[in-house]
Amino acid sequence: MTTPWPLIGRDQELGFIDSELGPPGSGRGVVLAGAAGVGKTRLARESLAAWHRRGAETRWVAATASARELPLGAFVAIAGDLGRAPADLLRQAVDALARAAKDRDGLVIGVDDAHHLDDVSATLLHQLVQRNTAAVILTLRTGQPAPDAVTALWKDGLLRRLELQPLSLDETAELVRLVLGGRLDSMAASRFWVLSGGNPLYLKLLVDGELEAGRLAQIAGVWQWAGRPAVSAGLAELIGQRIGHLSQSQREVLEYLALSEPIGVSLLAGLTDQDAVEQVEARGLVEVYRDGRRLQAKLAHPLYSEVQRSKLGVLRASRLRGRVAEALAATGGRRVGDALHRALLEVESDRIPGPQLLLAGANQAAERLDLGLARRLARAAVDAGGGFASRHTLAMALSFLGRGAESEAEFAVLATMVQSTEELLRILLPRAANLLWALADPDSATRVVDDAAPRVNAPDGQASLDAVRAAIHGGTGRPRLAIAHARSALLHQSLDVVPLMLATMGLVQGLGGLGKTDQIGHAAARCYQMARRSDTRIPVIALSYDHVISLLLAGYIDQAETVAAERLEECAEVVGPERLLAVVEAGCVDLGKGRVRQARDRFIEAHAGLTGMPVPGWIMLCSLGLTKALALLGETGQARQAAAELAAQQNPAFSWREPEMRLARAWVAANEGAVSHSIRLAHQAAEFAAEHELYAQETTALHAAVCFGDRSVASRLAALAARVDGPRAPAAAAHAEALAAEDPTALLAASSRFEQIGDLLSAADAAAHAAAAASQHRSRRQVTAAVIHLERLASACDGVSTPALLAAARPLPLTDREREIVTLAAAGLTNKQIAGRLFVAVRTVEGHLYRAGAKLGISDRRQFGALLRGD
Amino acid sequence: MRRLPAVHALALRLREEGLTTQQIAGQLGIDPVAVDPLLAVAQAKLDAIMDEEARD
Repeated sequence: MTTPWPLIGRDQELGFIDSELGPPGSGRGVVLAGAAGVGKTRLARESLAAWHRRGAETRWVAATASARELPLGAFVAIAGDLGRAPADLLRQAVDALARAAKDRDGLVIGVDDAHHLDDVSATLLHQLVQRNTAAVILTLRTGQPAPDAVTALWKDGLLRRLELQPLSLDETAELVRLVLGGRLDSMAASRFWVLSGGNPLYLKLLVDGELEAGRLAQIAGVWQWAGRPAVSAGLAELIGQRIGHLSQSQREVLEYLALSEPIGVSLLAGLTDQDAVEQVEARGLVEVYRDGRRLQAKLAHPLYSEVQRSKLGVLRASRLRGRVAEALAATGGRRVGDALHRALLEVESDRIPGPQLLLAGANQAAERLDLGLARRLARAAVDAGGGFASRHTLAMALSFLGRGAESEAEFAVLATMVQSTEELLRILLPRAANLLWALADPDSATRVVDDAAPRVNAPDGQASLDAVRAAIHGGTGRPRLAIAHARSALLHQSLDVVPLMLATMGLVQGLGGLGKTDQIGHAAARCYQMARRSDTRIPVIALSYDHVISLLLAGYIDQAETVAAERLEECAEVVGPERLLAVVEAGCVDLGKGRVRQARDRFIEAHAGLTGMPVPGWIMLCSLGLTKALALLGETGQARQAAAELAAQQNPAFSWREPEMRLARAWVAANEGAVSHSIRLAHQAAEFAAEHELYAQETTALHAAVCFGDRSVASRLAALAARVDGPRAPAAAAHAEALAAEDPTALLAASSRFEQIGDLLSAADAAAHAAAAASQHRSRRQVTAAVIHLERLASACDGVSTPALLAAARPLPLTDREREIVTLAAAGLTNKQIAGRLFVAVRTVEGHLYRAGAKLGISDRRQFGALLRGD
Repeated sequence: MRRLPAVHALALRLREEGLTTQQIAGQLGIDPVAVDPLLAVAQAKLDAIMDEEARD
C-alpha cells in the first residue's frame, strides 16, 4: 500500500467548503468541479474527515458508470435495505439517512463523480439538499454531462460550484519537496510543474516513475532530475483514458504536434485534414492560439505529447518529422525560430540537413541560451562541411558550456583557418575569454592577445583587444589597468556586443573594486541594452554577477536585488550553468540583506547543480557564498568543509574576489570561536585588497574586523569612506569609530544606518556592540533600547551567530581574549590546540582560563560550555 | 500574484479591470455561477501569500 501524498495548497478551498456547509447540522453543501486528477476526491475526503472529527455523521458515495444502470445504485450501500416498493424508495432513503444522523451532530455526505449518478440517486441527492436532511460535498468532472437534478443544484442556487484549479509552481515544488524529503533543485521543480500542469495525480505518477527509473536522484543533498521523463505505464493509461478514442487522422494531428509543437494551423491542416484539427480542438485535446498573424496549435497538456511520442516507432517519427520539415521549408521559414525548428526536425528525420540550416539552427539555439542544443547542431554543421562559421559557433558553445579544453581545441583549428583580420578578431575574443574563465589561465589569455596585436591595425580591432585586456585585468585584480583599457575600448561607439561586454566587465570590476561604483550604472545599462537587442546574450550573467557584487560592496543593496531578480527571471528557463550563476547571484543578495537561510539554500542548490559542470570559477563563487552562510548559521562542520573546498578552488581569473575568499575563512574561524584569528584573517584580506587598490573590498574586510570586535581600524575606514562610493563605507567608518569610543548611542546610530541600507547583519552586529557598550556604562535604559533593537534584527537574520551577537546573548564578565579562549575550551580544544590556533604560548592560555574560571566561579572547563549556551 | 495558480491570478486581474461576472466567466471558460466562488478562493490565497510575505 502506498502512503497518500500530503495535501498542499488547498487550505483556502477547505475553508470555502467549511463556510458553505455552515455550522454542523445546517445542511447545505458545495460542488467541487475540475479536471481529472486535479484533486477533487482527495479534497472532498479530507473535508469529510474533518467534519467527522467535529462530530458529524459522514457517508461516502462513489458514483460509477456501471452503478448508473441501477436505480439508487450509488446510494444503496449507505441507505441500507430500502424494501421493494419503488414509489416509496426516495422517502425510505431520506428517512434512513436522517436516522443515521440522529445521534450525531448532523450528516455530511460526500458524493464522488456525481455526473455518474443515476436519475433516482440524483433526485434523492436533490431532495436531501432541499430538505436540509444532510450537507453534501459533490465532486464532478468539468465538461461531463450530469443528470438534471444534479445540475439544478448549482443552477438553481442551492449549492455553490467551486472550480478546482491545478497547483501553482510554488505549491507543486513544496509538495514534491515534502514527498522526497529534502531540497529540490528549482529547475526540477519547474519541470515537474510544467509537465504535470500542476495536476497532483499526474505529478505523483511522474515523480514515482522518475524515482523508480533513477533519473530523479539526490546529489550533494539536493534532489535533481536529469534527462527526459519516460512515461510510466500507469501514467500512459491515465492519459490514454483522458484522450479517449481517436480516428486515424485525429491521431495523426496529435502525433505531429507531439513531435513538433507548436505548428501553424494551416500547415497542420495541410499535413492532416482540417476537420480532424477542428475535432481535436473541440475535444479539448489541442489548443489553438494566435501568435501575431499566425494561428498556432499545440497539445492541451504537456503529458499528451510525452504519451504520443512514447507510442511512436522510430521510423514513423522520423518520417513525420521529415514531412513537417518539408512543409516548413515550403513556407519559406521567415519567422524567427523557424530555422531552429526545421534543423531540429531534419536532424532527427529521414532527410539529410545541409550545413547552412544546421548552423542557422545552432545560432538560434545559442540565442535562446540552449547551449547544449547549439553545440549539437553546430557539431552536425561542422560534420556536414560547414567550415569556419560552423566551427566558430561550436567553439563558442563549448566555451559557454564550460568545456574549456574542447573549446580551445576547436579555436586552435580555427586559428589555422583564419584568412582576414575580421576572422582573427572573431576567434580572438572568445578564445581569450575561454582561456581566462573556462580554463582559469589568464597568462595564456594575455599571450593570445599580445601575439595577435601586431596583426590588428584598425582602430576597432585595437578596441576589441583593449576590451579583452580590460576583462583580464579586471578579473585578476588590477583595477586601474582594467579601467584604462575598458575606457579606451568603450570610446568606440560602434563596438560590437562581445567586446562591449568584455570591456564593461573589466570596467565594472575595476570601478567596483576601486570604489567608484557610482560610475558603473550607465556602462552596465548600455551593455544590458545592447545585449537585449543583440543575438549574443550569453555573457550577460557574468557581467551581471560582477555588477551585483560591486553594488553589494558599495552598500547599494536594493539596486543589487533589482539586478539579481531580473537575471533570475531571465534565466529561469535556461538549462545549464547560467541559471545556476543567477541563483548564486540571488544568494549573494540574500546574504547581503541578512536572509541567511535563503542564501544558504540557494548556494546549496547552485552548488549541487554546478558540481557536475566544468565551470570551475562559478563553483568557486558559489562555495564562497556558501562558506559564509554556513558559518553565520553556526553549521560549523559543513562551513569548515566548504572552506576547505573553497581553498582548493583558487582561481587566478577571479583574483578580484580574493579578499572575500579570505574573509569567508575569517567567518568560519569566528564561528569556531577563534575571534582573534578571524580578525587577523580579516586584516590579511584588507591588506591584499589595499595592495591591489581594491578599496571597496578593503572596506568590507576592515568592517568585518570591526564586527569581530577589532577597535583599531577606525582611522583607515574613515579614510576609505572619503574615497569609496556608496553608503557602506561611511556606515562602516561610523561603526568603527563608535566601537573604539565604546559609545552606545553612536553604535545604535551606526546600526540604524546599516538597517537603512538593508544590511541587517551589520546592523545586528552594531546593535550587539551597542548593548555591550551600554552595559559597560551601566546604563539600563540604553541597554534595554539596544537589546530590543538587536533582538528584532537578529531574528530578521534567521538567528545567525556572530561573535558580537553571541557575546550580547550571554553577557559574561570576561575580556574579549578570555571569552575567545573559554569558547574554544568549551568546544573541546586542548590548551595546546588553543595555543596553536591563536599563536600564543600554552602558559598564556592557562592564565586566561584560570582568570576566566575565577571570575565565573568555575573550576571545571566542561562547565564553560553550559555557561556559554545558557544551560 | 506571481505565486498564485494561473487561473486565480487571471480571475483577480480581470475583476480589477472591471469585467462583469459574465465576461470573466467567458474569459476563463467556466460557468458564470462558478465565478464568485473562484474569486473568493483566489482572494483568500492572495491574502495568505501577502500575510506570509509580510511575516518574512
